Amino acid sequence: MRKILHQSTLRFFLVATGVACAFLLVTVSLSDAKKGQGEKEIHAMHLGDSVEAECTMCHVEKPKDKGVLSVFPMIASCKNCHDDAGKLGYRQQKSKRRDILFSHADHIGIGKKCADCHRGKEKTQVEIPDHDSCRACHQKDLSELRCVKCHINWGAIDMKTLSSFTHENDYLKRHADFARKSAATCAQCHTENYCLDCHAKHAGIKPGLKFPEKVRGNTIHRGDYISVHKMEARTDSSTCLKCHGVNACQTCHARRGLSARSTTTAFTHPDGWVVPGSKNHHGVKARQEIVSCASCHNRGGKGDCRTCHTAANGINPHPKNFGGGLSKSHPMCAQCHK
Amino acid sequence: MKYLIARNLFLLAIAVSLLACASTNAEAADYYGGITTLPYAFQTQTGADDAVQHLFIYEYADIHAENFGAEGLSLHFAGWGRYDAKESFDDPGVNGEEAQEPDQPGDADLTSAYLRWRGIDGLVDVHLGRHFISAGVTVENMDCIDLILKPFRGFALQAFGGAPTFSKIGQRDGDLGAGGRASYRYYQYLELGASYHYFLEDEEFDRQNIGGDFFIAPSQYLDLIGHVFYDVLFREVYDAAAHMNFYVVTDMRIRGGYSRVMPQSYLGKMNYFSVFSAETIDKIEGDLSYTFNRRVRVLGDYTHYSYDEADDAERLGGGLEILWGVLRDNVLGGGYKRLDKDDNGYDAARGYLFQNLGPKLHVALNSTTYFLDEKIQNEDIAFDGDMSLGFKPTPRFIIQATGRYRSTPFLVDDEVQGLLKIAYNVERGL
Repeated sequence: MRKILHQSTLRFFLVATGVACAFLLVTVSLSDAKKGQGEKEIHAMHLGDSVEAECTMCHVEKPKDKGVLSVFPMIASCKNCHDDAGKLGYRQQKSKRRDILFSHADHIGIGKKCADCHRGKEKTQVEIPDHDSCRACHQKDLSELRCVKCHINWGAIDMKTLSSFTHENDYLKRHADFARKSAATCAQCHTENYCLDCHAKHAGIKPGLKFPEKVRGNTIHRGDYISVHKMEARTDSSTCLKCHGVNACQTCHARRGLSARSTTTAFTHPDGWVVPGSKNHHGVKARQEIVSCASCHNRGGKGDCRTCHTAANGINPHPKNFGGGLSKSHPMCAQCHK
Repeated sequence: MKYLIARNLFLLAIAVSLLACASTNAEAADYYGGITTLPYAFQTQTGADDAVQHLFIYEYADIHAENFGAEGLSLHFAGWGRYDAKESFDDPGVNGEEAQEPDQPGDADLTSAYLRWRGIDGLVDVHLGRHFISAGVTVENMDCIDLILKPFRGFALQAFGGAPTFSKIGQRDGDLGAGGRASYRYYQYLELGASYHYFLEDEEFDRQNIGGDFFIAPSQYLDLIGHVFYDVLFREVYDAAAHMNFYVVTDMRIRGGYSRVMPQSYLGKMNYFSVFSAETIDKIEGDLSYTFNRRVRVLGDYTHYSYDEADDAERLGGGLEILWGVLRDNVLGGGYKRLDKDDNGYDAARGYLFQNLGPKLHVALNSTTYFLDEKIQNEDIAFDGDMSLGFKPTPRFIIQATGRYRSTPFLVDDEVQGLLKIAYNVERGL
């Protein structure tokens, strides 16, 4: 039954992926908009001394988006002055630049003129506004690096230092390095609770499940991570323990009946656990994987190790060939050597 | 359970009062926030005819009020709760034994609750309350006061003091700690930081660490980032890392790095999010990405692990992504990765798709198949696939349904899961 389910599910995903590929090809081929041309010449023609057209004569409000001016004038606008508009050779293009959050309507609404932002050296020049144009009013936003107020798509900004924040590749693994230095920069896009949805005492739900639509996120623990978590933990336990406390192992293992604390007998230490010289001797394992021990025996050295490992019990806690060399004030030594 | 209810009610009361306050004084405050409800149900097939069902309901909420009463003053709250509407405690567990029953049918956490003031043109930034400290060696969620000063151009001083909310070992009760970070930044080219913190338990030092961190970008083609953390109590460096980003051309990036994690004594309590390892792990890693024509991206990565005693391990993988759409947020991707370790390993193949089906509808597909070197419960393949359909009738509201099928040999189970996500964001005045 399981095999059949497995195969049918795989088949479903294969078919779905095939359909998606076909859809992709059609979409990409249709989405290639033509490049703009002759923009400077057209502006020079219309803004020269002989014509002196107003910007809003051509860049009219879009019929479907109230308050939004069309970046590329519509043919209908040309007809206001040109009877033979159809023969001008002008074809309206689609604007592709949607990575900046900006409202012409809001700016015009507070009395701004087009030339306040789209200023060029010459009267006939029209420039795409730069930061200096914005600075006239948005000084505070710029000084406080509130970039995201306008730049909704980091990937579209060719600024060197910001390229690190596009979250591509294995950014998830590296984000801590940036956050340690630039928490304020992270706060451009993310509120604090975005961090704490994962970095909390116990995250409510794993990010891969909470954000299933973020397929590029390289979210850890996507897929059937539980089947491979043992291998991952043995490969790089430090990565696991950045987020999961040692109690996380014990809590889940107890629930699954895989812990000495659980009511089941499913978990037992391997043979030779208390036999000195055995490859499974707990002393060897403890030195290699103290975290595994601590996931159950978590009362610390005083509570766990020293219950048995005391001179009074005749058990030497030091490993073979222990040469000392540590100060007795070392916290580890101070557990016994007061 | 009473504790859970009390905390949720507290959060709710705060959120309602904030909303009421902001709405009655429209000129005084700008507020934003979000509420997300996640009913999460799944059925686990435990045998040919046996199945258990679970239903959890998660509620996330956060609300923020800017210019709250005065310019630069803001108030922030966030938290989550979970109610276990149907949790199967007749789970046969392993070998037919019952699993342990949790103490309460749910959980909750108030993750942040603080007042913030930014003043004097951003030169002073003060947090008061529960919030997340991320400053060099310190990564803690604390109930504390946190002060950041920027006295001169490029210089920043941060100092904090209070009580951490939890540790790796468990809930912290009565611990106190303080620390800070001093940094200097020269435009986008350089940042150097030094940080320190200590935490007390029973009036004795529980942790005491010093950290140094750096970011150097000598040219537009190269940047380096790294840190070194030192344990004062144990007199040893316990974490060091350096990574390099090399931007060959605009759309190509090569990253390389080295990091070393050294064992810290378990007997000392640790920073919750600090690295911790039982033995020294040296990692040499690198990855590459190249985007052709901003539409096709090739990815590759490699990591080599060296240990004190065990044999070395390696991880490598590669992938391909095709992006399209105005914002290139539609993606079809796939990848393969391999973990090679002396005693075990696995291969994983993954495919994914995100497609906007119009301005208000999107679909996401994701599937991963694992090929295990060594069988688990006589199975050497694990599979996980999910499909989501999202509907966004307004920019502020999203409803998304996700179905998931998982076949996991580790649990000897097949699982069918369903997740409904209802999220609503509010914003006014910003």
